[in-house]
Amino acid sequence: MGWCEALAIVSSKPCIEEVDSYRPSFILLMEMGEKMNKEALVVCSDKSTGIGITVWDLETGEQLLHIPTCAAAPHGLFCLRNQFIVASQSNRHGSFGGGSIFIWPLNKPQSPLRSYTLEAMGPISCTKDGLYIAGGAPSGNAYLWEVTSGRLLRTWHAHHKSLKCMVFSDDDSLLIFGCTDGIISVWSMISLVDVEDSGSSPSLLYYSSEHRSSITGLVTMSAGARSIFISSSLDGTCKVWELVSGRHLQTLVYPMSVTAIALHPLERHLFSGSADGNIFVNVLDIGAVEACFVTTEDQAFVLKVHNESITALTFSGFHLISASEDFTFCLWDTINRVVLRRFNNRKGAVTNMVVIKQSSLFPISNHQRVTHQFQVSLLQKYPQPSNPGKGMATFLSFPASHSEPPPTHFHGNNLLDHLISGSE
Amino acid sequence: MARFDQLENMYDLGLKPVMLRSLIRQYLPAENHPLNLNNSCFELPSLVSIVQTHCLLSELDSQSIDPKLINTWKSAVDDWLGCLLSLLSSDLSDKCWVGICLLGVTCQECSNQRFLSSYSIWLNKLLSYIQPPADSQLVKIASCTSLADLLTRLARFPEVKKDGNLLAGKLVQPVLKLLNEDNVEAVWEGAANLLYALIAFFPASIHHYYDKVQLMVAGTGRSFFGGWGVKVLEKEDIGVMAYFLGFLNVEAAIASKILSGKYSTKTLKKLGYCLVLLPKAKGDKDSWSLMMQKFLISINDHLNEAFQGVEEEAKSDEARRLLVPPGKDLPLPLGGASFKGTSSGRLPTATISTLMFCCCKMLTSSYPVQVTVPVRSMLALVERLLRVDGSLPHTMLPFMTSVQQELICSELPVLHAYSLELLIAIIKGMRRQLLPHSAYIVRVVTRYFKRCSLPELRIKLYSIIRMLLVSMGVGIAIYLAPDVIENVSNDLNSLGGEDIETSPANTGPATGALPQLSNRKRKHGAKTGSLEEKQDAPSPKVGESNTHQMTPITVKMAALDTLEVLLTVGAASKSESWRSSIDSLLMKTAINSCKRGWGNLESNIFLPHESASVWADFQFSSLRALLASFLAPARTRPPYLSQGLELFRR
Repeated sequence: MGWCEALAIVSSKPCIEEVDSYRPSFILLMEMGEKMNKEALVVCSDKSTGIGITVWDLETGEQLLHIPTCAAAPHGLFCLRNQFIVASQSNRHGSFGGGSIFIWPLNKPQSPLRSYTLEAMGPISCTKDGLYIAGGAPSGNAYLWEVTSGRLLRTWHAHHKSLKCMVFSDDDSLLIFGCTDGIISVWSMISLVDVEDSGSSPSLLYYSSEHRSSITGLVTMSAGARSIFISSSLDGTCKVWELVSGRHLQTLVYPMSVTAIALHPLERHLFSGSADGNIFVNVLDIGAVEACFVTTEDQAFVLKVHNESITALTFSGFHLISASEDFTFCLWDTINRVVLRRFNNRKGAVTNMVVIKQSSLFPISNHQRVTHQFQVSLLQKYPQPSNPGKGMATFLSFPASHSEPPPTHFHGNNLLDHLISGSE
Repeated sequence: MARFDQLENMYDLGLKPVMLRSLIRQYLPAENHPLNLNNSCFELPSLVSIVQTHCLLSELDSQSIDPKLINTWKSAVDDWLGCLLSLLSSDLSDKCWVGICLLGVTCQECSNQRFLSSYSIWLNKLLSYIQPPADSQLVKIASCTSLADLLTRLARFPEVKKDGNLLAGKLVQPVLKLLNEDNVEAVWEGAANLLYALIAFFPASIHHYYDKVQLMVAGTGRSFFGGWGVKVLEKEDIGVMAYFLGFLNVEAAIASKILSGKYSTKTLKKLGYCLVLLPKAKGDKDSWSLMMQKFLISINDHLNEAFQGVEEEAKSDEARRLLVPPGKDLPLPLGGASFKGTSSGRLPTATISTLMFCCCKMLTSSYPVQVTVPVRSMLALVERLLRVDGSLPHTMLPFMTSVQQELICSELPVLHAYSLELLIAIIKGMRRQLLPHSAYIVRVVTRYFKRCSLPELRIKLYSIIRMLLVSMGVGIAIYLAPDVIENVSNDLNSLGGEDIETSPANTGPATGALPQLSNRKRKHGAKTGSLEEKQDAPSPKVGESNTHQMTPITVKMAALDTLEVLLTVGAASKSESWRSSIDSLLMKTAINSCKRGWGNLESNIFLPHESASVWADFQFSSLRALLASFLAPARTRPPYLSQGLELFRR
């Protein structure tokens, strides 16, 4: 008895230093607090890998970070979970018939994850939760990866022509492709990633070929209880669709090819950049009836500053950012329709812009390392047979609930319970 | 002595020491006075409640308080503790028991300073009551509870964590001994409480212990089989090691209780919870997966036995294959003892359901590191359970007796309920990551929907569908909509609601059946009559007109809630085919639900209270669903808008 007790004491002695890794270091937070909510703009070009990725402070116009060697196709750059910049590399391995997708941790950009793909990747996109990445190739093939494991879940021939852009629906359950021949297709994620792939449910929900030229942009929004997406095309129109049924709701006609679109965060205004550098602003009024609106240049709702084709549009807060073939990009005050700041990217025209939080650029000290983070793996080149016995790596419950209360039936003093059992 | 006329009001701090002293005088028996246990059983709760409400032990310390008062209060608390300690040292177990209970309360209530200065003394005191010379069960239980309180409080002071671990380490062995050697269920429950506090707050204490045990086990194996000449083991050594091997493993101690399946569900669940927390004591990836795998294998083994004759052999082989991938070693069975099969005559439902409860808890409680969840095998388990409905496959017909079939049929509802719980836990635990499996889940759920008719299970199923819809969005609505619409229409169209509405006398049996059912589920240890009950559910009073199956109002509520979510999430999804019929059905239901006036009106006093509130909930659900149907996008104007607005206006 005594021996066992002694053992118990001895064994509990060498206590591991328990570092509470969840407690953020408040001093650091205070210092960073100012910069926390500021946004930064990540830009890159598709012309030459030498241009690389540049991160700009929008307020001061300072260059915050430069990552060399990157050239991403249009719609080939996004920010994953506010922590990683992901870009498909154009022209890089094209000659060998393969492509690559690079993933840079924002706080440690020196060491990207280089994943090599079977084909060169054009547009890529990820779900809002950052769990899946989709990529489209010039051949019309589409790829779907699981980020945590890097597993290539599915490859399929989605279109006959080159894929131009893609976007996930707001609830991540549908995937929308736009093709160079003007065809739009909508796919169900659930059946795309079905492990059993029984073929019982077709993945393609519907496709539409109403656009007569290449799709240049896709955005999703919700109007009331209805999910909607808007497509822009070189044929000079933007079309509004009901997401699930594929019903065409509205067409906006422009005098020029539409090369980029963006939605105002309040989803009331649509900004369409055209091939001549003008940006048209339309008020979205989506009714139940099919409608067609013609937008002309002499209307008041035009933002003019660029003199060449618009390549990308995005929003930082309520400020519009437009990039153009003329090697510049501008920050707009959309209410007064004035340019707040004009940036010059001397090396080449910006084709991709992503707005990120400046805070994600800070190197994370050991103290505040968030342990509840999904890992990011190399994206696999070939699909692997699914191993049914293998599990799925995950975190159980959110970090917020780390200090969960004990289950109710253990709560408090069970004194009364025992009193009752005692008096029996 | 403080003069009473000087007290301001009931918040006056000066009152506290005075009250405490009079409580001591009034309730705590002096050393040489006998204690009337019966009296104190009734007095103790009131004593505790006075102490707690007035914070009599808190010894508030601040500048504004008169130092004299502080001293008075301190000495009063000193006296209180003195009394408790003298009770504790009493030879009479009932006095001792009172002292232990109150010490537990003191652990919760006393000031930080006092707690920190004396917790180790208290812990050692209490410890002595759960160790061998102690024989009173009541005292053991009370000490376990008080120790659990003490540890819970202690865990709040990070600065004494090291010391806490050291002290807590002392408790591990006695607690396990209680579990292993005592044979009173209430003691185990107390031990489970304490073990929970140990694992939850001082994992390191178990952790070191755990490792040590494993080291010993490994060492034993080596010296036994490896080198004969290295060391001849002393007899005591072997004895000690056997002791370790056989009894002291925490997991084994708990698992053996669960696997025996003999005790009340509440105790089993508590023990199960400790088992769930055990991997956390180590906190690494593999412990979690190993424990999960052990649970699943154990469930599987039990099911193989239970389902003999009601499912094809191939099913159990398949489940096995999923659990243990080819080429991998089988882990040690849960608790170290291999599955032996239970004595025939009863099904191991209690064990299976506790193990499934454990799986659920494993999935829904947080874990410090990323773990690998065997999603596929868990889903396969759910599917396997839901597939068995008590019917006999043709090949099995000659081997089953009706008694066997009856036995399994009576237990199946509980098992089905737990597999739905497990499915819920999987959805909650995996969230969006479940996407690759959601098509499979849809298949399982829709297949089960067609056959599931127990109200309680249907309600669960509806809630699963709501979870899926909310978490997976419109993508899953496309697949679920046809089945949901079909089932909801059946449920809402069936009799039941109308009956209740026309003849209030029938409300009792129809609505009352459900709460009863769900209670029954929890204490299925005795006898589960869910199936029989289901057959009784259509009230015989309705009698002859009973051509449709009655749908209890709670099921209708679940159906309405589900419809509301479906309309909100996926109304745009190719809904033309069903929208108009659903809209009219919702209108009809809402009108029916409002015919009898509002649920919370006083006029309902003639009905039993419960049914009135159920009715009000039903009304609420039907109106909400109606609202969703008005708001959901459609090509045409809602046809029943004016009618509906009329209802809302009222």
